[in-house]
Amino acid sequence: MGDPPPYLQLQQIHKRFGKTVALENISLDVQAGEFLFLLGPSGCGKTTLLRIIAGLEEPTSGRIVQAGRDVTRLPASHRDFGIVFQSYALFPNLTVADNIAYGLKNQKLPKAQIAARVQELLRLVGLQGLDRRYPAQLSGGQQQRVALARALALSPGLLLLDEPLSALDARVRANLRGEITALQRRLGVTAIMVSHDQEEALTMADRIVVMDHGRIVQIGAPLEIYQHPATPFVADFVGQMNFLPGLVSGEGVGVFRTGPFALRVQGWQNHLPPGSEVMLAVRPEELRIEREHTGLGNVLLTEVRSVEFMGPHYRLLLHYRRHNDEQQPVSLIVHLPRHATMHHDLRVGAAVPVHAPADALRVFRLPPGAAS
Amino acid sequence: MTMRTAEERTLLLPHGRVRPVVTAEEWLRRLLLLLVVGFLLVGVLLPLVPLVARSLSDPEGRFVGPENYVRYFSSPGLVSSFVNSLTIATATTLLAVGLAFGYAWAIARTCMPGKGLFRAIALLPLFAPPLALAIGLVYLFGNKGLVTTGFFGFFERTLGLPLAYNIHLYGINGIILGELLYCFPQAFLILMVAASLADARLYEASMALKASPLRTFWVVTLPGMRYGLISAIFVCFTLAFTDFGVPKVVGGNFNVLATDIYKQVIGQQNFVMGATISILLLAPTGIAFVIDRIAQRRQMAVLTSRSVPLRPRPHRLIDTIALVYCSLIAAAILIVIGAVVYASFVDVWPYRLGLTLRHYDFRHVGGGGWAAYTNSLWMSFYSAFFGVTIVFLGAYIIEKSRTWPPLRHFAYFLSMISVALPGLVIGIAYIFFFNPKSWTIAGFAIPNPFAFLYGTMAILVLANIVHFYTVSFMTATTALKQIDSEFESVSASMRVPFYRTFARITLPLSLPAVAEIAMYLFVNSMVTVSAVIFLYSPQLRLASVAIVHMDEAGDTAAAAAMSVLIIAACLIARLVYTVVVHQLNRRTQAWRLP
Ligand SMILES: Nc1ncnc2c1ncn2[C@@H]1O[C@H](COP(=O)(O)OP(=O)(O)OP(=O)(O)O)[C@@H](O)[C@H]1O
Ligand SMILES: [Mg+2]
Repeated sequence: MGDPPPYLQLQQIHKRFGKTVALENISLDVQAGEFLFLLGPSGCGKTTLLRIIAGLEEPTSGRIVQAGRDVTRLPASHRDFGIVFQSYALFPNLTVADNIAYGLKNQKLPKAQIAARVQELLRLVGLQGLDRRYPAQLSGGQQQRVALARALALSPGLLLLDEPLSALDARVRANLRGEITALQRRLGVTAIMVSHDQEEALTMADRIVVMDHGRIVQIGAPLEIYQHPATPFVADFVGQMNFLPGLVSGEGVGVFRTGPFALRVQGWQNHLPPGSEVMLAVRPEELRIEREHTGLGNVLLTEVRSVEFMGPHYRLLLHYRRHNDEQQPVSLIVHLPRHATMHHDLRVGAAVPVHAPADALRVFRLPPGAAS
Repeated sequence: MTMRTAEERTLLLPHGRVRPVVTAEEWLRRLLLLLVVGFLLVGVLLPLVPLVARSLSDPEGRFVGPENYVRYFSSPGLVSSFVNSLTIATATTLLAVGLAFGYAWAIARTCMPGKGLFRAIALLPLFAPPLALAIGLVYLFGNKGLVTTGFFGFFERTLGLPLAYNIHLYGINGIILGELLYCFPQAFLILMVAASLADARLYEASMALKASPLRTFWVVTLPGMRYGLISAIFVCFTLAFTDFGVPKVVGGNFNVLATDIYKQVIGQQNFVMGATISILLLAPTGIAFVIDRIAQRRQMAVLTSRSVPLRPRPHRLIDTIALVYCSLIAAAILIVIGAVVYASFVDVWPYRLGLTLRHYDFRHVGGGGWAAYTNSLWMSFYSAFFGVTIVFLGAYIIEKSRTWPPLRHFAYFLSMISVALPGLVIGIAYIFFFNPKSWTIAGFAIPNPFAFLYGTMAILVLANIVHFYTVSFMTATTALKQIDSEFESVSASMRVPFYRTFARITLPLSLPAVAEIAMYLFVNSMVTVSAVIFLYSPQLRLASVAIVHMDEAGDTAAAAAMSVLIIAACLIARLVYTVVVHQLNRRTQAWRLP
């Protein structure tokens, strides 16, 4: 019978605020039980998209189908979702229990049933015994758990989270990441979370939607996005990336030159005429420092600019010149495990050979007109 | 399973603009918005139409263009009133804003003792009708005043010193003094807020740069209070330019626009000229209003980052100067109000100084006596109750809903402009709008659906609510803005109707603001004269109007007694407010921020 139909379908969503275009042609399918991330820089339209999915904002055009039902024109109160905001948005004059029960009470359920459900939800988010407290008497992390419990109270088919962790400090944030993911898996609820934190997205998501300027740039599993970023923007936004300006070399398919160095890229199929300008990209942790310049392929001879201790590793800032008189040398960042530093001379100004493995290099064609 | 029904397939067709379904809840919001807009149209905007029309017509109702204005400006007597009003307003504004600036600065930025007391005294005139302040001046500086007669000749008799001093109260001196007392607390309130908003970091930076205190004042203090100053100037100018009470009592032969309107309408029944002068009264306040709005919009941009509140540091000399300065001003306010209270108990001023309660027996004077007082209490109560309901619902629907944006903006606009309408203008406009049994529009007679309101309590309440709408509205809007805007979103996601969230969350969180608005409406309805003097009916006399009539008839002691009653009612309202807010704070302590 084929794949089950997606739980949520967004079709050609456009959104304008007056003259500003907030979203442009967003089409997206979300599978039931999936944890999807909307990731992108500030102002790229993540919140707007989430609010459109919720019905809190109407799209200028487009279509939304949720659980087989066209909900495009329905206001939020007629849809099926729970929502958590960065500000928690807990009602300050209601206790934790009353906050969680807020939607349940409106359903005119029997009192005992409501109380039981509230207890169940409190257990779910690990806040047993705090039901008589007011939000102001809780820590930020606890407040966000209450918000989560409240969003789940009506057992919605869809859970929406708008940067729920960004107001919390680092340690609490790390704990809650794991808890939210575990909870989502356990309940099997379809979830969409907005974030501009790539690490959060990489650790929590089933799939990531990378957005920029109101458009979707790439959709994929975390590993796929990290390893095969579709554009330099994605490469730079998700994880760190070194960009080396290069030219297609005539020495064979998949060979490029950056200054005096030749770099072979594995799996490069595209036939560009020799001399075409490209951007070569490689992640800092994929680069390796060689003990000495062996003259083998894929090695760049660089000079040390600075060394920073980062805890688990050192961050080396290196550079090399493409011509002897180049004003702005090409910079390069390398992450070096702590124990590996003892074998190398890393004083500022020291010459260091760097190996860029052929299977770690990516090539981005420059958009027309971008060549400098 | 994956087969799509025909219906689903048609739904899949891409369609154009998305038009959300209008739910019953949305209709309810629309209805609420329409009611608010309707109220503001009838209360604020529409009554101005016949006012403008009248000023452009002859007494028979024929259109004559600007003829009335030409006539006004070619009558030297009338033009001098216009100039007089401008003079009074300018002088009062300079004095009131200048003095209040120093007073507010002393309270906010020095370590002098007794700040709470000084604050309370500065606000005291807010609880008295401007008429009462003028009567206090009469008892001090009038022909038989305490100062004019040298304490009734006391100094002359005992010390042989001619310490009597006549300031020639009746005329420009008296008006400016009275308006100063009337405007001072208003300017003080605004400047106090501005002075408290100061950012300590700016002062620290200035100190680190070793700037002299004087330079710090010019470079940091003044710019920081710029918008507060503009607002205070706008408020004082408008109040002094349009006030009726003070010139009525101590104006003598010095005519101003406000008293001219009263004479034209009440004295000569010349409604056309009354309308014309009203428009002239409106013009400068309208301009001041526009300037203030532009300035306040700028301020929004400035006040984005969070500032660190400034803690004043003790400084012997400055604190002493501040204390002396504030004591002098506070004493002046207390003496004027004290004079009213004292005079209301004195048997025959200044001949028999024994104390008596006979002036509180209003049976032998005009004005309506105790019945008028009771009417005023009820009117103020209704204004507070219905006013706070309408104001708060209006602010709520404008601030917290997404219904019909253009109409919401229009409602906001109407809510903001009422502050530019002087009470006298509201009063006259209401006569033209509510009194006729039918309106004549382009030759057609249309029955007036609101005519039944004329001469009732309802029109008095309406006039008061409209007169004091803007300040109340801004209080409500500020309170609502402090409530997380996502509460409505969260409630919708839980399918809780908006009115339940309003009742359960929004309203309880706003109760202090609600109490403040109700208190403000009550007090101002109690003390105001200008709007209601044209609208009360002989069956429904009012306390503040009674003061005018008693004073006109020479029953100054009775007028003082009525003033004291009004002040007492206002102070009690204020006390109730304080207790209510205190109780609220105690009850809600658990959920407010620790
Ligand atoms: N109500 C609105 N009126 C006008 N413009 C808006 C409105 N809401 C959002 N925008 C604009 O739409 C764009 C997308 O905003 P949005 O809030 O969706 O971004 P975001 O990706 O959530 O950013 P952030 O990470 O800062 O939260 C921005 O340019 C923003 O200025
Ligand atoms: Mg956002």
